[in-house]
Amino acid sequence: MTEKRKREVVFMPGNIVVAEAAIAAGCRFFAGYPITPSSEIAHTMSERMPQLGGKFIQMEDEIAAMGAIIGASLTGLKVMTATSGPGFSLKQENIGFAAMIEAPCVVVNVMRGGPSTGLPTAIGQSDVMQARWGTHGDRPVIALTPAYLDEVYTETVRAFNLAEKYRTPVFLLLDEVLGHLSERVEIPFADELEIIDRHRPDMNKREYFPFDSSKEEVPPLADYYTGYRYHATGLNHDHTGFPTTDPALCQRENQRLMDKVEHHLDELVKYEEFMLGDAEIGVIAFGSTARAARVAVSNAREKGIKVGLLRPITLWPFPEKACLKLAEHCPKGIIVAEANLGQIIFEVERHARNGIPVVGVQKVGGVPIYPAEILTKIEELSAC
Amino acid sequence: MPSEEQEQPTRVATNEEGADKAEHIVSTTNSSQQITVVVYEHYCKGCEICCDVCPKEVLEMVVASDRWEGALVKVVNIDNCNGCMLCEYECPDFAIEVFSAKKEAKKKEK
Amino acid sequence: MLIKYEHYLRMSRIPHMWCPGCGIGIIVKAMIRAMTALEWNPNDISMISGIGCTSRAPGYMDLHTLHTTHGRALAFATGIKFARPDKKVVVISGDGDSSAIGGNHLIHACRRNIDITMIIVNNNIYGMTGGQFSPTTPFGAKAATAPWGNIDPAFDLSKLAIAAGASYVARGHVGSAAQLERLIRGGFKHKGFAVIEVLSNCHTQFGRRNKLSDPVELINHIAAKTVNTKQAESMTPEELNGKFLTGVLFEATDRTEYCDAYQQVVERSQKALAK
Repeated sequence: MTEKRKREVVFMPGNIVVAEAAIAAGCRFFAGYPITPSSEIAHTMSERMPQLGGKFIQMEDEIAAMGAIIGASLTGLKVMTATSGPGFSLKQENIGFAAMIEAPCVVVNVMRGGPSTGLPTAIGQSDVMQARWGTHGDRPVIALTPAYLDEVYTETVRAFNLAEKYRTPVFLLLDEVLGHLSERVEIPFADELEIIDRHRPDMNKREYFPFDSSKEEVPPLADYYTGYRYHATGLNHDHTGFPTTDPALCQRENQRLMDKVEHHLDELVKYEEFMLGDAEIGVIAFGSTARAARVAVSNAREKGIKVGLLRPITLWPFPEKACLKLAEHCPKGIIVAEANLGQIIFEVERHARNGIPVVGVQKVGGVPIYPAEILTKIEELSAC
Repeated sequence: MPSEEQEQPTRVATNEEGADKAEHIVSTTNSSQQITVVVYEHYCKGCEICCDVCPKEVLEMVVASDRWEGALVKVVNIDNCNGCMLCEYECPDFAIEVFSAKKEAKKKEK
Repeated sequence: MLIKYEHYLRMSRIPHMWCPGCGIGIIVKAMIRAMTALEWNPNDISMISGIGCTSRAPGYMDLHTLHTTHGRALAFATGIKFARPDKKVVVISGDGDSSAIGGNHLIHACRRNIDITMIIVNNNIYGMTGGQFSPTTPFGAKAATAPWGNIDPAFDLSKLAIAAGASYVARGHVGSAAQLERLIRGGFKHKGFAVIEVLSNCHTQFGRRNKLSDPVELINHIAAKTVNTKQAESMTPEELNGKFLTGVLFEATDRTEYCDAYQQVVERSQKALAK
């Protein structure tokens, strides 16, 4: 008789879940800088990395932490850094560099109140547009917004997989509530997790070009010191990695970067639909706000209101098709609940072009959005 | 520390952007066949540093209108050369090299 | 030839983009001679730079080369070295890149004493961007952003590196390429953070605004301001005033290197785990 395996069950805060999931995904290099409310990720990595033969380094600032993980990524390691709003702002230039040289890396942003120093110990979700547009130039963006800690675990692993597969930085966007709340989490077995590693070249070293997509859409990335000596630069470059100012080449290469995401929306877009079947009102929320939204939707349903929740799990690329479908089926309108003064609502407005009301439940000030606040908005729309 | 790899590292491919100038290598050897000065004319940018540092007046700049600075280095007095290597060391452009049989022998001894 | 420069160069990228007479080429060649003398295998070496004329150097080298963001070379290099302490990491950076925007990373790399060799090409100007003054532009000199004369005092980069904790600090100049190769070789051999500051000539941007637009004249001008450590021993403070000391200015062989210290952390943490 085969015994059903029992997963290990832990009760731990979200930040620690991120660290443990990163380790399970194969992360063996962490560089960071202390910043509330993400520091527990660094604390855990500082303890666990050396025990696993990995590396932990606290760098002198956020910019250096981003640089260090990119460097380490090129030696073949799976790498991660963790920060919050102000650090995320500082990292933008090097994030663009990682996107430009296509270095796999995971950047965790445990969002807090902003702008500027904001509310270091309180919830915020106001970096979501920055995740999309923060660094200058056009580059692909993958940003994940889990809402429950077991999902934090699996989405962290997914972040590493996507970084490796698409040779790009991937953002894992949490917030202070999710980072600090503790929840029961079942840790998946190792064989339950799909782990993806970057493609490495296996060819004549004289013929290796690090940005050559002629044979594979995402070019294989050689580890440093394995005999493939290539050049990578933040300057616009061609398939060889050397700088170019040829307008056609620059256009082609920039577009190729964008296509890495644009051509794979089916795989990248991920969301949860809750009670959307016959919904006349839609609610869109992500991260810890979605937890409140889900409760509000359940409460509204008990009152007989036909409402449902669309919860992006991949925030970028934004679930455009699902949003468009929601707009088509919800004549009474869409509520976008986010802990900021309106960011994702612009994406929703862009897709709901049929004139339905798109309203926000927007709260800054460091207190989570309560289910009652979303319920009130649902009732308002329902009464129209 | 030398690495474990025994063979020479394979030269990796690069694009050919820099390969548009015609090679012109001028090699001059002294009477005793002990010292050769090689000028890679296609690399010389006419900066004149080599002429200035040479202690033995071996080199001279000549007018060359197709050069970057309108000048090019020529070996005019090879028999004066004592193989001090200053021209090679101070040339920024890999345009001049000195081969000295004595130094080669010394190097092989080591 | 005695030195096969091609062994470490991407020959199809030569001739390089630096101005006729630019000292960076002299420094790159000295660096290649040092690598040759030590018989370094290109497969074991990574070279990282930031932004500027000096930072274009890695593109010409047949190594693992990374041309990063302005001032941040040391951050990337630290990640590379820390991930693979068994391999060689060289950083090449200009005076502006390393001491203005990169200043923080410079002092911390020194402090950590991580085994990286950093060559700072100090030509007292931001050359590539058109001749703006840098933290080492002399007081009173003219620059694109100091048309009325520079009022910023200048860093002594070597002193800065020593104070911040670098365990090998040397200064050379482009007029003395044989000495330069020895100093760089010493840095390569040294286990710990090594800084070799090289006084160099940007006659195009610095020189042109300061009546030194000829490379030979500027190099001689630089050479005249230097005094090597041996000569300095028999000179008075008045004679040394305004001079730049060249040679090995500081060397400590008893400091723990950063990656070695972390290896001890690894051992300690694994021992604790085993209990």
